[in-house]
Amino acid sequence: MEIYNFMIYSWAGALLVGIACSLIGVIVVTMGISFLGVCMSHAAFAGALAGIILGINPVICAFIFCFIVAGILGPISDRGDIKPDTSLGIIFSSSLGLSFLFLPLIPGSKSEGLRFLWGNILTISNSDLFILCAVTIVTIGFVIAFFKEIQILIFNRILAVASGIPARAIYYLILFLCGATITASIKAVGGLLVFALIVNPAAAAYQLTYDLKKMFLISSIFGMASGCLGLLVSFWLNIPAGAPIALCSVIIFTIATIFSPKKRTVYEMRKA
Amino acid sequence: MKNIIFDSVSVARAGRIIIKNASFTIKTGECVALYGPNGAGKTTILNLINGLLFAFQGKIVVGDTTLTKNTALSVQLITGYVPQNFEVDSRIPILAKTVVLSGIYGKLGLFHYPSQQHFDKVRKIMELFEIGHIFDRPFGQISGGEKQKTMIARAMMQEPEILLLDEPFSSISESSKWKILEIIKHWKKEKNITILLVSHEKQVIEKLCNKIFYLEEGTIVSQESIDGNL
Repeated sequence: MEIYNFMIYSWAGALLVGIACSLIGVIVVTMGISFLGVCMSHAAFAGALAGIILGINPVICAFIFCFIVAGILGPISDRGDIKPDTSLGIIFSSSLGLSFLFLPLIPGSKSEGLRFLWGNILTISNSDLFILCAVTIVTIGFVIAFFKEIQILIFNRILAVASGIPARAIYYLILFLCGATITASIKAVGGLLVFALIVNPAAAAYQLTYDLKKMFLISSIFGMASGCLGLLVSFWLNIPAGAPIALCSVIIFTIATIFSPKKRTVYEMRKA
Repeated sequence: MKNIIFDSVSVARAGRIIIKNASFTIKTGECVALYGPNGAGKTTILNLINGLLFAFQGKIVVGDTTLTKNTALSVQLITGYVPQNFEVDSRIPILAKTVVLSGIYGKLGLFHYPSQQHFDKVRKIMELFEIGHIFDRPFGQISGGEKQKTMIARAMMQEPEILLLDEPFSSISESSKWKILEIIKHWKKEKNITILLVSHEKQVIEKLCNKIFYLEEGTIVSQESIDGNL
């Protein structure tokens, strides 16, 4: 019965991580802020380590760190004094610095801390699955409820503001949701590799369609496929699942790029 | 009545004053051209009316609303905006029809979705602008002229009371340009909308506008009325 439960949790975790990360990935990839995923994942890792040191639930601490990062990034990008990639780089290096600072401070074995770096989907618990499920439902609900606003934000943020869309509020929601998705996924795929699931399925879907609705759908399928294929490989090779999940998403992206109809269109446009 | 009043407005960006003490009134139904060299502050004036920028001195009143960060939304909902040099990634997953449709997103409000009637209206407007053939085409894949027509169609979809046009014809062919100008003139007459046009083309200005503001280094140096139009 125990083995049966652990299998169910792993497969459910792989599917949920795949859906949640790939949906939020579509937004960050199309808005050109893919590096946000790296930034948030390292903030989540630093937060989890802080939680372990302070004896607080590491997932809650990771949530708090991600929300702080979202709360800093939003106003910085609104002011426009600093380019988004520069502010992301500064926050990324701060998170990385904090992680390296916190890791040696963990009393005793560092394995609990490193678990959040590499992740292991085979060890996710009932409560982890519950958080993942809740975040996935919220992400799907967000995409459905704000689809038209997301469309125009992707198209042009200034035009969205000029049209009377509450662009700032929705942008902040995207940042917070990205943080929540990464935190919920960190135990399953790890702080380093969750970025792959944010960017690769969405980037692969970006190669295949000009329709945003289809892009969300294709990206979710690729996300789930990466999770499940990665899990199969991990069972087969008896290794933690994070790395094979990330590598499967890279393979899917490579195949999508090779067969991308957009590549042909852009090539034809340049030729013309 | 949606008069636009600038009262001693000054704007600074990156430590440089780009609009100096501008005062003018544009009455409802007027079409005013902003004319001047690059960097004179023409686009800044459009951005101020649109609530994309805010003055550090003076006040801007649109209709009954004094523009502030809190009131900008109500003005944005009645203002159509056609930005200049609109470039996007050629692979962006947004179709031309979606761009036109997005003109009504602000007015629709949150949690309301476009209906079939909205899509029918999009098709009708796109056909009027002779871009019906790009209805289902990706926006990034259409020509510069088609992009500008799409952006004007988008503004028309919004049914604005104020229309801000920033070099809207720079990539549009001569024959199409005059057709679109006629559509805008007809639309202006019918709906009595107020237009602000930034353009370097005197012929376009004379065809559409009844007043020209000449700008230099952030200052309106002179005004001229054009007779016999509209």
